[in-house]
Amino acid sequence: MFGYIRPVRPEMKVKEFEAYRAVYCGLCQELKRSYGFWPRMMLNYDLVLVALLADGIQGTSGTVCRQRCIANPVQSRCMQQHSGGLGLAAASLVLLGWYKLEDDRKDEGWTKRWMAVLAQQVIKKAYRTAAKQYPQLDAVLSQQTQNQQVLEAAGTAHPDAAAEPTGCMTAEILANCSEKQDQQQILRRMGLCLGKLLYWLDAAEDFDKDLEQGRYNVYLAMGLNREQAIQRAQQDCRLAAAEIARCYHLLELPLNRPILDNILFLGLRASIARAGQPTQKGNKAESL
Amino acid sequence: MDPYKVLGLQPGATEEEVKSAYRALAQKYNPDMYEAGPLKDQAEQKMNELNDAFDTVMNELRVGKAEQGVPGGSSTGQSQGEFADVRNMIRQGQADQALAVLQAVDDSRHTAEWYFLMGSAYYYKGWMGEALQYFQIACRMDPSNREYAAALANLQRSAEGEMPGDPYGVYGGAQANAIGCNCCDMCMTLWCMNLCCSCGQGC
Repeated sequence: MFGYIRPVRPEMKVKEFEAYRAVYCGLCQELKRSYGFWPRMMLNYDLVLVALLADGIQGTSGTVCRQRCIANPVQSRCMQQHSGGLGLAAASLVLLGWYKLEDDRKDEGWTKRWMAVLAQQVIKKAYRTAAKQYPQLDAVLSQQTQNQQVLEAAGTAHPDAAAEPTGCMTAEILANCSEKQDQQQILRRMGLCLGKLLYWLDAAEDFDKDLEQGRYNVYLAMGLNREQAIQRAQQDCRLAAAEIARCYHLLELPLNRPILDNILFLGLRASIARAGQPTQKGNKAESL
Repeated sequence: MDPYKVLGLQPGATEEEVKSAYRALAQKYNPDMYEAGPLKDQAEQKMNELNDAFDTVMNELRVGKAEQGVPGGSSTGQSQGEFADVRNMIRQGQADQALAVLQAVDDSRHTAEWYFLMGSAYYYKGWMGEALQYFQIACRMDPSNREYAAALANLQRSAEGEMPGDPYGVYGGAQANAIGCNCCDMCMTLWCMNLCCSCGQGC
């Protein structure tokens, strides 16, 4: 995923921020423990939401303990220890990373193709472990990656159609956050909207690059200029964000609500307001 | 289910607390907000749960006294128009089949309800942009229909950036700054206060 889902830090209480960071660091630790060194390079904020949701729904917060890590060896930090949510988030991250590389292998540029092949060799073992643990999720991601390629090859000019595969992937990931069927139905819809929102934000951000390199971009396929593309993306994202809020209210969520409130109501809105500005990918490590 | 848990309160809450908790939650679960969408049943169920909890707790609080004036519990008696089967299809989540049936309908039968159901099917599918356009046409053709109007109003507000049940208010935190106390406001206030005092003392 893309790193658009993150809290607005100035609006957080200190304890909430500490808890959020503990989950983020915990996710990194979980990746190391379950999948080895390399998958940690793919760590991003989006999957923290999955961990927070899953643990919030299960009502389990893992124990937090102080540790040092290689990104910041001087200062020890609170990190959440293993929990079901972290397990799901880590596996999703590995699987998403794998299928992103799978997609890159079909890219036009040969450097990118070879980089993808190489990277896949590196994380192959991690992928197999994750796929074995979540076979259903693996199957959905594989199918949707193919769907995405078909849509792109056909030059789809409808934003909803183009975003559908990403939506379905995210829906499947979120559905794993609960075992209850009625909750899963809500989570699926929430995931669908969230995935599509991410896709649109990404498409808006890549607009210039795709135009330059002559690559597929749904807004280019629609014949829009940059300004129109961003406007369209923002409108669709706002509709999706409201639907995410509707789903969120219906979830039975005994834990983590304040942090999730911040991420969904402030963070998403901020990301939508910034649509099309290439500020987010570069400053990954900036705030934590 | 424990009525206090539903309301998010501890046993022993005051009448005022119960009322305000009820109001806040009723806003979130209001089935109107979910009009024409797939989660409407779940929202209604939540709303009923909430209404029951409110009734129970209020009855406990005022023993023997029947509670009065509970809002909510909106009527859902929908008119099953000429597309009753399509309606059922949509309600069962078969949005794509419903769309196929609707698209096969002859142009002359494109009534307000047809546009509404097209919108609803797209809404179930998660294609909110399309849904919005169809709801707009449905409302233009039949402005008096409450169901169409509610569906349109929801999506229109969403498109303008409102997120239902936003705990940070409609403008999401940004508004806080508008009435907040920045440095300038404080200086201004102090100056004004000072002015009043000086005048009062007449020096």
